[in-house]
Amino acid sequence: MTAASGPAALAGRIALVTGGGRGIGRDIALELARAGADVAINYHVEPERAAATVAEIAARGVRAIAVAGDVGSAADVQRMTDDVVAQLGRLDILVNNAGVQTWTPFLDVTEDEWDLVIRTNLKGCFLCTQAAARHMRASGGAIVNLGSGCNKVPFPGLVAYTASKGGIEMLTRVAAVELAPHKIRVNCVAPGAVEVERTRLEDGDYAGTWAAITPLGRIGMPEDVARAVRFLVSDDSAFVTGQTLWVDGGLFTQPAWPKRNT
Amino acid sequence: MFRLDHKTALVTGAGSGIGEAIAHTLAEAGALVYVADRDRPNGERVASEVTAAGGRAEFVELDVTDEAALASLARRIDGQHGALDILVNNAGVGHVGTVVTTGGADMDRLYAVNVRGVFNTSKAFIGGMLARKAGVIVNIASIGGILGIRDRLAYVTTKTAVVGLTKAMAMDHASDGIRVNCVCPGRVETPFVKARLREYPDPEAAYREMAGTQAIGRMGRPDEIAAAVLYLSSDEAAFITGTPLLIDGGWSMGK
Repeated sequence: MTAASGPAALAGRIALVTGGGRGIGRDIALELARAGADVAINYHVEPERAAATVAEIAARGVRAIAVAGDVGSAADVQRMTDDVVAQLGRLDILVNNAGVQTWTPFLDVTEDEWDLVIRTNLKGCFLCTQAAARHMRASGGAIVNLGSGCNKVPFPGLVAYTASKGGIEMLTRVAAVELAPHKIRVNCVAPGAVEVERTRLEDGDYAGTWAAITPLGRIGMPEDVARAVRFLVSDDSAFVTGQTLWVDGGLFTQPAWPKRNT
Repeated sequence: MFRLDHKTALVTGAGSGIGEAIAHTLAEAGALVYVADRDRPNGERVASEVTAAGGRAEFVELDVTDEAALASLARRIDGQHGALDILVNNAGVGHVGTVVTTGGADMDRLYAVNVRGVFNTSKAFIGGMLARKAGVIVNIASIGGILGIRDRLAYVTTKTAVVGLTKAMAMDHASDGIRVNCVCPGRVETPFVKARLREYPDPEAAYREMAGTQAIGRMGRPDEIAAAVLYLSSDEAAFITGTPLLIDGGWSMGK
């Protein structure tokens, strides 16, 4: 086996996971720590949850810190990445996970809602990538953006979110090409339906509904996504850049937006 | 992480290049690897090198266009192990030519190996996987299965078909517990490519030109393709099916 796939594949690397206090971000942070990375998690509004995740990461024997900040604010992002470098020494890995999702019919979307979603998801991804890449310039790095089925499927009721994820798809490619000379790789992980705390609280049988239309017959788990992120930030994927890796149980290989088929 | 202990894998075209690297990587992760190749001396060499490195491997002489030989091999392997856990359809041939310069016989030969070979091998081994309701197939397509590449008509056509086979098999057998994915390598520095480079008047300039299409600015290494095959073969990728994973150093990004 190549050394990169061993349990210490990320030993000595410094990672920043935005929105890492909960949901899929938390699982990504824990997975990177399991592979040996020191991990900084960014949070915006929930310091207690970030603190709990930091404690959980530190229990794995690596260094862990929480950094507060709004990914949509250039000043916050600058301070946050500087903080990570000041406290942990360097920045090798960035996972752009922070995001918001709102469901509103196209004709009812307000300017505020549009701005909130695009600011957090797309501008946030850009600002964090730019700030992190400036730190990574000297010694290279790996960046993974969290996409979605919305990277390529038009979801009714999700126009702002879908536009933001379509934007992330192209941001990933442009960043990959421009940052390649600096030995910085940029890729995207696009999950299908994934069960997180939020979806468990939603009305109805979210897991069952999506399992029924997912070819592999189950809903995705946060670990499925976290493992794909770990692959793409490790040296196992040293020649992969500008790609979107679908972790969707086959959902978006189907010909159409699946709900239309049911 | 990425362990394949107690798994049985078959890699076609494993006697050289990317297939050889895949055989080593899967064996190092704990799998028993059937090193399948038409070329007996090189296939035997790879199997013995895997064994010498502490892995488990067995050479099987195989031409992927020979359906009878595949059926008989599948009977033997399924008989011994119940089913194959991992099938890596790596065997393939290249060709240089446009629609003007490609002969019909060349087109048929590339189809026979690159497309029918993947079909034949998958057909032979999927029976065992269906009976066990588990299995992983990884096809080695190419960046030529995604992009148009000049002067590679037969290759691009057949590798595009491999991407299609991958998606179709993934959809047909997802509910049977079988995952099917493909990797699409860009330019990879295999011993074959290195030998061709040495034939150029200025090998370094030829390397720079070939590497220059890829944003990362170098060619890939066989072990970098093998690492992705290992990931897709492992349970870590349990939710990934129907996906082409491009390992092209950014070639497809337009540089």
